[in-house]
Amino acid sequence: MPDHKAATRWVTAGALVMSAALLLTGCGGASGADGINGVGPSELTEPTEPITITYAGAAYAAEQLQPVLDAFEDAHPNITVEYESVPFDDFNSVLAARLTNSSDAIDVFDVDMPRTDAYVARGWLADLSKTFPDLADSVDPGSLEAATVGGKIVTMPYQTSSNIMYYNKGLLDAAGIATPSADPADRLTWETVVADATKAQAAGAQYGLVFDQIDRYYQLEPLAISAGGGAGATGDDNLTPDVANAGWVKAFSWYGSLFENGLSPRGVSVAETPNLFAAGQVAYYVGGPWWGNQFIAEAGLDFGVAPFPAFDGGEASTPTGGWSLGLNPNATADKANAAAIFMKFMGIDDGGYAQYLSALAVPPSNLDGSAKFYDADTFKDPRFAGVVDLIKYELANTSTLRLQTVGYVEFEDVMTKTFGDIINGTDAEKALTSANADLEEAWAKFQ
Amino acid sequence: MTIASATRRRPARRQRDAVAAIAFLAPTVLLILVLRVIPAISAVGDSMRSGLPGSLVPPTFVGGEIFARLFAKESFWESVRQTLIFNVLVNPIQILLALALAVLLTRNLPARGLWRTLIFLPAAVPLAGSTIVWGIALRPDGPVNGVLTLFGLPAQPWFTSPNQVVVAMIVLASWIGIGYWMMFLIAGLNDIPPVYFEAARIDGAGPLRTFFSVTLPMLRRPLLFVLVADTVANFVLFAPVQILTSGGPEKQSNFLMYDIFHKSYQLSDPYEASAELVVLLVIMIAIVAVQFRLLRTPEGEE
Repeated sequence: MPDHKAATRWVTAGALVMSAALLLTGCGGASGADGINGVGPSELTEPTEPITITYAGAAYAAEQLQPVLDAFEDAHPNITVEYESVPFDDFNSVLAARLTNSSDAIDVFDVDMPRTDAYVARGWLADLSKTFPDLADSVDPGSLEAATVGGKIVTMPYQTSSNIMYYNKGLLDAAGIATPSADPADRLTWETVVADATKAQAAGAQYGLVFDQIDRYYQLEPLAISAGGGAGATGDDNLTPDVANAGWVKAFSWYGSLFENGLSPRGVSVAETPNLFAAGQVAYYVGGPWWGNQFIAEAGLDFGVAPFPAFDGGEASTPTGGWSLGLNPNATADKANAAAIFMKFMGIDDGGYAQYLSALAVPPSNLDGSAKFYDADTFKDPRFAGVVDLIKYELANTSTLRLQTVGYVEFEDVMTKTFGDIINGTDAEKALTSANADLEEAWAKFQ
Repeated sequence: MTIASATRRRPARRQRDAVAAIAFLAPTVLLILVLRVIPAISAVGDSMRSGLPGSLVPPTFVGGEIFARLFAKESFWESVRQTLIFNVLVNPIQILLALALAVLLTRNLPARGLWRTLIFLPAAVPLAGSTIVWGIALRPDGPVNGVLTLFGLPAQPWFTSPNQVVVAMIVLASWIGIGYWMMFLIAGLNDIPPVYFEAARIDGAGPLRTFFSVTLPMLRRPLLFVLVADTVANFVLFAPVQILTSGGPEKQSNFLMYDIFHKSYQLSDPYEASAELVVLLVIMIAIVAVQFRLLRTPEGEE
């Protein structure tokens, strides 16, 4: 039976090849001969051979960033930047997997500013002190603070942020509520906003008051600070949790009541909240100025802006912080050089990346870049009147960086779940006490 | 062909058969090694080492310290308790319903094939897809509550309530699981020789007696498979938790498998995650061992 035998031989050969392939993939990996060993290049040289670097980002979608990448490749024709956009919620786990399992998968990546300390402790960030020695001259002081850990510069900050309160003028008019001012001196209290939001809802608004980052510490930290509760941790290195004090309980009992009373919707994700305001369903919307482009595109949406409110008698506090770029400490020397050229382009050269984006609505960290930013067309829309002075004021006076601790990843994780529980009706004191205990457990390994 | 040449060829053929057998088995054995055995061993190894979360610095050997730390955590025991509660409820519910449907659909019903297909269909939808559909259906303002209020019943919080999230998870898992496991039981039922049922009828056994004395004993093998496979599947259920609840509300859906993923990838602590994985493996092996014992074929039968 020659046919049968031949077939057997082929199948056998195929099976053996498959087994070999499996063995190879199972045991592959591990390389990185000439890595930079955690220190960024002290001198940047324009590459003479074509080189491709991989940039993993969570701040921008690929098409938003394309003009910047095009401009970069025009200026540095030998460097190609491969951009991988990762959803923010998955970013941490993607970075963990890619940086831990494979030394050269990512060369440069976005760093959420409050995670800088944690990333340094994990060994994810190369020391850039010698690469960008003059960074202090180029970026705002808050961004510089976020980029510096233990006296070393570890990231290239490129974008910061602030928050404002949008209001729907039509819905306020219908309820007979006076239009709020954009002047920080006339900052509303949360008590007033809730009273007015309740009236607006009675007069036809679907929701009275909605927070943009509905369950995120970024936007909710100022509530705790304004209520006198602090940023959430005390002690050396901010590793003693303090989220169950009277201030925190006051702030989040108030926040929970928004959902209990139907002023804010339950079961809505961060991505959905701006659409509610854009659709004219929300009276007051606390959010980032970056939604401005979406809102001014809605011709029928008559809105205005006011300062981020504070509790009656409490200090004014606004969210801030943004994105930096980090360099893979295990990158090869060639890739580290190309990546650092890209980082310099993003954060320093001619005012940085912001000049290539037409629809940017978040201030860049670069000082020259931010002057151009405030000149953008978005801010000239009459509905945005007063917003430039307001953002400048908040960044200079009330903005509060998120908790700086090596345990930030765990902190944010626990707090997001805790805010989720409070939104769903768990008593704030109970949820925060449980969060405090969870943080003690989670931070034990850093003590 | 002479007798001599025939006997000479025999060892050669045996050798060829052995090579073929090894070649055919090799991919499976390798897959089991690469995907099951090696990860399990490396998990045990990782569970005895420690490093800062996500650190690129090589971890140090710490022996049982991670287990000690894990066992001291209240949140870990809460996770174990919720995993056990979920499994004690979901497995019997799924298997009883799958068995009932299998028995029903092997009767002479009109449009029997249609019913089978409809019940099996959810198993053909990717888990993430059905999770999203159920997530929307069970939203506080979703269609299920719409139907409830239509009949004058109060709307339920489902996935958003610490008291109902386990029930909602059971509904979701069963919608997929029942149809899938039913197919195995139908195959098992069809394998039972009809003579046994005839004999039972001649002996005057009613439907209940037939079910308990003929159907169930003859179905022992497929039932054991379904029981074990279903238990394992539900212990490692992960996608709905990740997509819908992230372990909440109030950690009530923080099942071990999700907690392991969460610690390993979101908190970058593979060491504690590995320790937890070892605990989950031990629990699963213990339960499956008991199941094997319960449904063991008595000697002399078969």
